Amino acid sequence: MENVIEIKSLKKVYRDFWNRPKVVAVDGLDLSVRRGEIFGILGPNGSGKTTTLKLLLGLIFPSSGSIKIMGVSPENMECKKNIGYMPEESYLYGFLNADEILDFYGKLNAMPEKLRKKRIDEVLDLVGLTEARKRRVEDYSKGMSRRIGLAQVLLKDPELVLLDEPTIGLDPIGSREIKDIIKGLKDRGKTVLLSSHLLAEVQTICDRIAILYRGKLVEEGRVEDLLTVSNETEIITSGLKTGEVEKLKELVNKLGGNLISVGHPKETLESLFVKLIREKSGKDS
Amino acid sequence: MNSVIVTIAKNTFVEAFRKRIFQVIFIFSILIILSTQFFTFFTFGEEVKILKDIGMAGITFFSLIISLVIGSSCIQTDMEKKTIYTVLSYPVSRKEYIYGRAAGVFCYIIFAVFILSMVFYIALSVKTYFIGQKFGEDARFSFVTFSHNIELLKGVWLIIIRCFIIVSIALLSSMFFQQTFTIIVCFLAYILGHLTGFIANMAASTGKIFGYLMTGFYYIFPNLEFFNVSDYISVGKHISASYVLLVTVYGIIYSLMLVLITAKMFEKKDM
Ligand SMILES: Nc1ncnc2c1ncn2[C@@H]1O[C@H](COP(=O)(O)OP(=O)(O)OP(=O)(O)O)[C@@H](O)[C@H]1O
Ligand SMILES: [Mg+2]
Repeated sequence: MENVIEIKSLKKVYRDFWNRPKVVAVDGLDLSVRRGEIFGILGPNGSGKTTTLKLLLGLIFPSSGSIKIMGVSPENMECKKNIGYMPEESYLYGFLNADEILDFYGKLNAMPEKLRKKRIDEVLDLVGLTEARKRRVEDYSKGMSRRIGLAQVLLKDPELVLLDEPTIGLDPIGSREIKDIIKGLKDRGKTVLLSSHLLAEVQTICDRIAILYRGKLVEEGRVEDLLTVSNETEIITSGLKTGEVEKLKELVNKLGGNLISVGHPKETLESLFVKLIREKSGKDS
Repeated sequence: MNSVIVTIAKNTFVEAFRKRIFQVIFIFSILIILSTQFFTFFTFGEEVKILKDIGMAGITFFSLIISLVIGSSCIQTDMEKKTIYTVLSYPVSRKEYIYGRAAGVFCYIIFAVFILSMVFYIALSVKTYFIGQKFGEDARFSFVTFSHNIELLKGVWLIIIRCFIIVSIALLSSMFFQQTFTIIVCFLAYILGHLTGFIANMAASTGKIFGYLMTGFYYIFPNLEFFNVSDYISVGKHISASYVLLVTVYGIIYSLMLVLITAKMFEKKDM
């Protein structure tokens, strides 16, 4: 499969005012992201996730190593048409309202006016900000700011989407909605690279992940492969009585296995919360 | 015209227009100019002269404050608040960004000085109207003839050009320093810029090396004394059109040079 992003032995050293090295934020990183996948960069605070994304955007320049995005360097203007970026917090002009902000970015992307107006309506609807579109962004709540940040990416509709901590500061409903939108991007053939330190979130949406620690790659691979404990088997059944579970245990023993635990599968707290609130809001409306 | 530059320039203008601090400065300066209505002196000549002095000084002072604030903040806060990240993720080159910012700032200064001048001019007209009532129409017309107005216009124009220079110094300085330091840099540049005559004298009168150094200073620093014509205006002296043109060309070339250097610095900057 074709690689959308190719990073080779990338290194970034932040320097101070006098050009003395201060921090090695990314250290010999090799990474490639394939077309059409959702790729997650994981890592604790300060591990170099944001730095990597900024390097990919050409906001900062590598100290050494190389980056290719769809075959060209991030400094190339052509490649910026194909990249959308949602920053860590939604760093957007607070003195504009949602309409004006999207209009501004649409113009920067050289969208013709008619298309721009139509698409703005669509994406505002998609992120659920239609009612707040005339309010200034500085008065938005955290979640709303994130949504407008995402709306800007959707308006641009690029091939590659870079998301820095897309769901941070969102309530479970909001974060589920954002995740659905991200999955929607994948369904439309887009490539998504996101950074996060929320493991549960990454687990549910990413195809492949890389784990960074102090700027170095610690682990990389498919989420399924990384999370599957291949020498254990989980048995989930329904309609069994207590006595019959004992029989199952005997059977497993007879086959030479060892039943570690039998229990009722739990849904995650997140999905329970989402289900309850969704039910409630469904009744109210 | 490049549409990206226009878009960024417009946005810069809207940003300044909506900023609380500029609204406050505006209201304050308008109040100062209007307050001159309440000065009364015995001779009508003095009254009009004082009104012109205060008016021009007010426009100079407040346009300078506006230039300092907008020049030191417009790129700096974009980097500090990281709004620039999103902008540069679009097909906007760093040069275009700087040109757009600079163009927007220049437009805003023209707008601000225009509004202040209008208020000043209205205040002046009201005052001279009453002078006319008190001392007769002849007295009035000796101060508000067409040529007087043209001189005022020239003075205001030169204030704008001087603000362009100050703002471009601020933009360049904000490539290296935080906002407060940039304001200090501009302030120093402003003072030195008005001392260029003094520096030239020093260059001529001191020894070789120091002399060369001073000559260098003389050419590097903007000669802001060129733009200082309000003394002439208040006493009703004539400023020649060729002088205005020459100084305008000087000021615009100086500012554009600084903007070009700023763009060059910005190209390789880590955000
Ligand atoms: N502009 C900068 N100047 C100097 N050091 C920096 C700069 N930006 C980041 N760093 C340092 O580089 C390292 C990596 O930072 P980075 O922001 O990439 O981490 P991160 O993985 O995004 O963390 P978080 O999860 O907290 O967002 C940190 O040690 C940080 O202090
Ligand atoms: Mg980060």
